Parts: sequence; C-alpha cells; structure tokens
Amino acid sequence: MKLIQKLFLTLGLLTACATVAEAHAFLDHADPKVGSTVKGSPSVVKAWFTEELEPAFSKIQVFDATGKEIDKQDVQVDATNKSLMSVSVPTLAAGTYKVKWSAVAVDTHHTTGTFTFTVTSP
Amino acid sequence: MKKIIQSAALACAIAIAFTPTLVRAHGLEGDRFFPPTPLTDDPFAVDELSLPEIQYNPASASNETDITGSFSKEIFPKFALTIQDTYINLNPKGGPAQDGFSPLGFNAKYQLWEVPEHEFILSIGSDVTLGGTGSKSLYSYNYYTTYTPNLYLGKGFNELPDSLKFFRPLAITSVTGYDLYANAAASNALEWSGSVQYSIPYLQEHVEDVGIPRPFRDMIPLVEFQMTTPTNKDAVPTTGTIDPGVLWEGKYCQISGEVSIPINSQSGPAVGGLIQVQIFIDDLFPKIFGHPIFLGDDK
Repeated sequence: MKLIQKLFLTLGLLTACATVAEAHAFLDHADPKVGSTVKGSPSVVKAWFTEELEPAFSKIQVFDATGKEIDKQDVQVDATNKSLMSVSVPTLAAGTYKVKWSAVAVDTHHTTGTFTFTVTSP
Repeated sequence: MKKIIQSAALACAIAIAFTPTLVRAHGLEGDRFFPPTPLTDDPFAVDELSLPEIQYNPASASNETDITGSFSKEIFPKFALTIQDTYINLNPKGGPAQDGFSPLGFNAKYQLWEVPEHEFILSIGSDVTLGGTGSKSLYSYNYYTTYTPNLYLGKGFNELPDSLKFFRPLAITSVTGYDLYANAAASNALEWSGSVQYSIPYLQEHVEDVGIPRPFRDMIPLVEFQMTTPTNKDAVPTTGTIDPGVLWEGKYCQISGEVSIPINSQSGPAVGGLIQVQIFIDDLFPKIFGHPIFLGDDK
C-alpha cells in the first residue's frame, strides 16, 4: 500500500473516531443577530451554539453602554435543545448592548465570547 | 516500591479519566481563535497533532514531496513540547530518486504574555533539529545539531473603530528565530515567517452576522510568508515563499491549502503548493488532551 493511501486510511479512522467525540461550543447564531440593529426592545436574548451545553457551567449576560449588567439573570439552557441558551432582559432603551457568553460543552470544553447589538426606538 | 509507583500511576490515570475538569485548548485569546497555520508556528503552547502536512513542488529541480507529522503536548500550563519529522521524496529530473526522513525536530514553547482583551499573545521558545538523526541518503543530511531560539507573536484587530468593523476579523501571527548551528563552518541565518488572516468565523460570531453559509462560514483566508536570511558575509540573498491560501475549520480537524510562490530564483524555479490536515486531538480525546500533564488544568 502506498504511503499516501496509508495516510488517508489513518485519516479515515480518525474521522470515524470523531463521530463519538464532542467539540468546543462556538456561537452558531443569535437573536438579536450578532452586530444587528433591531427596532424596539427584545424580551429575550438567545444564542445557539455548535454543541450541546452543560447548564451548570454556562451563562450569558447582557451589559449596557456603561458596562452595567442589565439582564434578569435567569439564564436557561433549553431542555429540548441543549445548544440554545437564553436570558431575559427588561425593556431596553435605545442604545448598543454587549452580550457576553461563557459556554461549557457537555464534554467540558470551555469557550467564551462577546458580540453587540443595537436597539433603536420602534 | 514498584507496587507503590504502579498504584500511583493507576490512580493518576483514573483521576485524569474521570475528573470533570474544564478543557481549554486551541489557540484562544479573548474572542480570537488563532488557528495553527502550515508555515508559521502559532504562538500557543497547546496540544496539537498535524498529520499529515503534504508539501509538493512539482516544478522544482528536485521535484520534492514532503510529508510531515508533528505532535505537541502541553506539559505544564502554558508550556508545551513538540516532536516533528518529515518524510522526504526527491525525484530529480535525470537523476536517481532519493527518499528518507529528515532529522528529528523538537520544540519547546512558553506563553510568556497574554492580554485577552487585546487579543494579544507573545511566546518564546526554541527549535532543536537533532544532527545525525535523519536519513544519510538525503543531500540535506547534517551530522550537526541546529538550535533556533524563537519569538512568537499573535495579535487580533478587535480594537478597530466601528467605521472599520469589517477589518476586525483580521489577525497577524509571526515567528522570528535565529539558526545557531553546532558547526562553525555553517552560516547562521535569520528565520522569519508570518501570517495575515481574515477569520470569517470571527466576523459571523463577534462582529456582524452577514449570513455567510457553511462551508464558507468556517473558512479563514490567509497569506503566509516564510523567509530565511543568511547572516554571513558571502551568503546568498534572502530566500523564501509567499503563500496565499485558505483554512477550513471543521469540528475535529482543520484542512489547509496554500500556493507557494518563490520570492526569487534562488527560492525555487516555479510555484508549488501544500496541503495540511490538523487534527484537534483535544476535541477527539478530551479526557487525555487539552490540559497540561502537570500543575492543573486552567490557564
């Protein structure tokens, strides 16, 4: 068997192994969308991740322009879709808000990240 | 005594297997993921497996194909060791084919200074190419060892103002090293390489979701360069390549493809290319990889 064939066989085996493993949870998409401008205040900020999350170690926070946390601190990982994490927010005034997330995947990989969205008057 | 050591080893193995420690690996600094790039060693001292990197230059005088494998393991927090070797196949036009292994390469790296909010990292380390360990049939065989102290840098462009927000996914990495040969007759040389990257995942996740679909959403276009500047008086000029390409980030692996453009005739007669597969072993085997062997799991 040629060396190249052996290498690709090895890769195939590794890929097969990968089907039983998990990976780092990165942000897939969010609502409000990353960097978007929305008319009127959302009631909830939702974030979908690329992996299922461990609720006990994952959180999402929303901060106003002064750096004050303004979410209701009721973070939830959806029971039927464990890759969805959300937090409620009060009625938001016009302005830019920063979302900070910390995600621990079910296999304990830990990732963090931030994004912003802007609220305008409805 | 032997039984005590065996019991301790077994206890450590069980502890590693079942303790629910948080796994941090990959090259993450703040919001930024610095991917391992084929030519510029990234500044992170983390667990990495590159297998294989295939570099092919069909138009070179020696018609050379290199297949490289490397494995890095974090020993202490922020400190990792790497072992690397390359299988070289030469098919020169009009000459006999040659093949064999390059000298064994080792690297030690330490993450010296990190500022996550500025997506900045500076690391130090050294490459050691062990003389006398490669195949003697290859023209590149050396009986002497080479030491290359290196400085590694990584910086993201996250501080750019809103008016330039679509440039925030840019990042640069660089490695600057100096070859010190354990042979007075050999010319020392400055090795300098770098990458300029534009991360589409960063754009989508941290700047603005512009709706780029997969697989393009997981791609990082980049340009790398890799240069050697000999420092003795009679040396040849700087040689090297400029290598535009793209990385694709999968769940468990990264696949890279680059075109290698020589900067002058001394660097090669024609354009070549390379393909690299990087296995995210910390994702495949999180119980074993993704944390240092000694002194805790958190950075």
